Amino acid sequence: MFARMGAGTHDPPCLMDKHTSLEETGQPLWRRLLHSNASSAPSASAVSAPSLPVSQSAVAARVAELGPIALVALQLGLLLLTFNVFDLERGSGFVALAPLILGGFVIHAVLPMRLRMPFFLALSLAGFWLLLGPPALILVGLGLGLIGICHLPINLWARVGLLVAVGVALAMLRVGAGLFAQLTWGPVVMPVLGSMFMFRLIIYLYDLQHEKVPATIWERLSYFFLLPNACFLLFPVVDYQTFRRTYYDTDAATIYQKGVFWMFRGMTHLLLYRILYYYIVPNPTQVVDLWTVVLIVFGTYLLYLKVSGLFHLIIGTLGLFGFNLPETYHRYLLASGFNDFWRRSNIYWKDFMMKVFYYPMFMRLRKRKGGMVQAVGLATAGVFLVTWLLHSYQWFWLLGAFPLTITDVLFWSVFGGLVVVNSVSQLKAGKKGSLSKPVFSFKKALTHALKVMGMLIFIAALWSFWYSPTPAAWLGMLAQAGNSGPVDFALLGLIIVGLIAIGVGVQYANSRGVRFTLLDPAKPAFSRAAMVTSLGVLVILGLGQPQAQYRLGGFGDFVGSLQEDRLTEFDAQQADKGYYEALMTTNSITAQVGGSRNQKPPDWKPLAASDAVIRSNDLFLYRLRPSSELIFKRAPMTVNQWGMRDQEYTREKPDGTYRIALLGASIEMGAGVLDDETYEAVAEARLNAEQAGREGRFDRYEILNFSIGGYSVLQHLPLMDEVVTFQPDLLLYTGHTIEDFRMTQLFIELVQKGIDLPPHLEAIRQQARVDSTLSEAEIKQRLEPFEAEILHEGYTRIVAQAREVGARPIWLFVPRTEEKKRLEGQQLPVEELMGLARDAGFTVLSIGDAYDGIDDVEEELFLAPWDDHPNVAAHQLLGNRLYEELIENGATLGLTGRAADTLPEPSPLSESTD
Amino acid sequence: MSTTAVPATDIKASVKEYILTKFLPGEDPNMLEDTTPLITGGVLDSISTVELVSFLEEQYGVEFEAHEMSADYLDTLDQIAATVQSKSA
Repeated sequence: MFARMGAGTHDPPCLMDKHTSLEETGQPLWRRLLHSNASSAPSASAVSAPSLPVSQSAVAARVAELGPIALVALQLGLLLLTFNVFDLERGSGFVALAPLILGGFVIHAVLPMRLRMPFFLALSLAGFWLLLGPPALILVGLGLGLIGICHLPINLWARVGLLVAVGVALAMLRVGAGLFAQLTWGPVVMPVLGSMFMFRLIIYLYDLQHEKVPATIWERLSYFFLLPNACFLLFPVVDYQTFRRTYYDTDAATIYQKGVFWMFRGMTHLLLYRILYYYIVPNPTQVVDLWTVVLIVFGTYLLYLKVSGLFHLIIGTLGLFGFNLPETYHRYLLASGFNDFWRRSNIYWKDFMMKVFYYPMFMRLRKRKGGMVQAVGLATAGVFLVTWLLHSYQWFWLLGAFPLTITDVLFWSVFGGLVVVNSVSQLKAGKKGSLSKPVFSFKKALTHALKVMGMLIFIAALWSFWYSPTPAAWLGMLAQAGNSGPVDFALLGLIIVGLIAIGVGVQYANSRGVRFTLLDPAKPAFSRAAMVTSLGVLVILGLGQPQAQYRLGGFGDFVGSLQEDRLTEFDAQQADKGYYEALMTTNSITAQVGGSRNQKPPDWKPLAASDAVIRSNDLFLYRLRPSSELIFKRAPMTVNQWGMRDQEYTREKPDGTYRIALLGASIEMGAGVLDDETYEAVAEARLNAEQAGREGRFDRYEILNFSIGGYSVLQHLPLMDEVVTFQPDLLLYTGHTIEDFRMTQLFIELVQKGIDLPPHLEAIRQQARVDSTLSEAEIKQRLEPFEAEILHEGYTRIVAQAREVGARPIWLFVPRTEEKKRLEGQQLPVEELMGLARDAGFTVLSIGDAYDGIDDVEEELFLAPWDDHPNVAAHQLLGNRLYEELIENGATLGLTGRAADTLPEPSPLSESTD
Repeated sequence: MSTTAVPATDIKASVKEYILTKFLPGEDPNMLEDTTPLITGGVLDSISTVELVSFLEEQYGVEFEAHEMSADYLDTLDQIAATVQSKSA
């Protein structure tokens, strides 16, 4: 079969003519480049430049030919170093691939032309092996099978049918359904396989029908096994014909230089994204006035820089290996109409849609009664319908979910509808283009600037709508602008007018020959691109050095804060409760491509969305399923008859037993660790092994784990009715730094669901004037002044209930793993929480130093790269530290058999700073 | 109109006139050369491409297929003439 695939020669004539290698052109590239017009890329004619003088030595010629390669390699090395210094795309695996890319580039560039494509393929396979390990073999096997089906000697529709059947089987594998649930390599291999084949296979099969010159087997395989695909799942839809046509279609060095320049551009996009994400774009609960509305609307749109940055990086990397692919985006922020935006943003997608869907649909429809206008309208509408469906299809393969949300439907309907109207009116009015430099006219320039500004505002608003969980949430967010006065609106109007004026000015300057860009990104000249890339990388790399940051003071601190890939405080808190998992089912592209979190397997669900719980329409929202054994986050989890994630205990406390009731959330419940690996189980085991039965000690120690993931004081308080029936001697109420956040989020959820609140919470709800008609931001804003009161009231009631049954109430501070990855200067509210707990009557203890001495928190303590819950090692640290804390205070806690009246309070400073 | 033996120069002249009138009104004819990129250069977008194809089909009695509505076949006047000629051969 593959012999048939490679029926063409190794270098088909159509490509052979375009191939330009250093050894084939004869003249040193650097010389030709230096003598070429600096403002334009060397043209194809440069390829046939005269040969070197015969007198020049072969060695000198070879050295001269290697000059540009060395220069590009130097830039590439510095660039990849910068990625490392700024911790960019480490989570995706790009940094791990860096040595392979750099070494591979150098070797590839000096190889004879006929060996380059095979070498690139081998390099790509090595990349897959490096990042996936042995499952890469399965990936390759499945990939070869899919390509092979395209070449079966049966008719086209039979092949399509076979591919669909195989696709269904692979889809079951993707979601781990049925027999596939046990295949551990599924979640590793399937997203990558999906990324490689979900669209390219469609294009490949389409183009295979019209292939004029048969491709080599290396071309066919390289088209699918592209090196950057090893780390990037969200991938531009590379066209097969373009992939072949542009391979070494101009000077090799020009392509290499363009590649490294585009990678540099990608890096700048990714850094800008970080600035926006960390410092500019507010979270939904911070949207309270006109300016925060403006920031979130435009900021959300600009966060798309992450995707454009990745696409630049991907296409740039391919450029290093001779694939001179066109640009993926063309200044989409400057689109002046809906069709213009469609053409400028994600150009590869537009081309894919045109080729495979639009033109075939148009050709079928044009002969019908409605003629060309109807055909264009219907074909355009069809393209948007297909785009919407394929958007969900894409997320299915990448994330394992098939999101079909109302905002998704409305976004594509509105956008598609506007493009249809635009297309039909263009067809009727005719397209008016120009090849010459346009003559400046104030009226035209003003019209254009108004159009660009209008499109920017409209698309940003539409984009923010797309990202909103519901239309009501979006409207509620926009309504916050009403909190600002007329002066703010007037000021915003002035800013918009100012920007339009700048737009007119730029057009005037352009008409006078002034250029605001250093070079044309689509065809950058070698020397200028090398200069821009080198200087840019050196500046950024320099700013990344601690010495430079020290000298730069505040700005240095700011740059330093960009050197770590992390979540913002808000997103970290969301992730803790599982909100990230919810985000993954929405359209939050940036969240979905956000580093290692995009590797999360589909079965990695939050507790509330798992089979481990029974949902209820009351304060608890959900409870653990009693007497069940299930898998949660890939670890077996046993729930006893009382609904505790714990072994079985009798309700009646056995004689000679010291019983502790533990009240907490996901960290205490233990997510993704075995039953006997939770930190309470570790502490309990040590108490029984090292203390039980000794003189003056109890016969047995029990820690009953009442903790449930996602719970807050709002659930813990009613849960106390159950806890006290087990007659605990000690109540261990665990506190984390997100205590108030979690409590408020759950209060919002209860209000939005219209769940009956107990009298003390109902009184606060009425006082705060919140109800289910308000947006999340509004409820949050109104509840904020009451947060301390709600917590204090809850704590006080819990303490009272504990004391009623003779249990000593302890508030125990337990650290979260991710706290060491926070933004500089952010204070953890530990002391404040401890103060509240003391006021309520708790005795405060802390095991906040449990993670001291851990350098790489993510590596050593995280459950998974995409989940910062404590892993087994972290639970061990917490369990040991809890044991020590209990023993240290054993006498005063009555744990060693001698009750005490007083317990010394720990120093808040030592607790909170640990 | 039959396409038999229509010289490439005639096809190019006719298409050039069509493009200048329809998509580049007021443009200096000298700016549109035989090798000027039309699709990749942004002169023709998807809508103007389907209009051009309709013109070619009507003018020369040929029939285009969907996959031929691309830069591989229609990017320059040279390519357009070659494509039309290959269809009439």
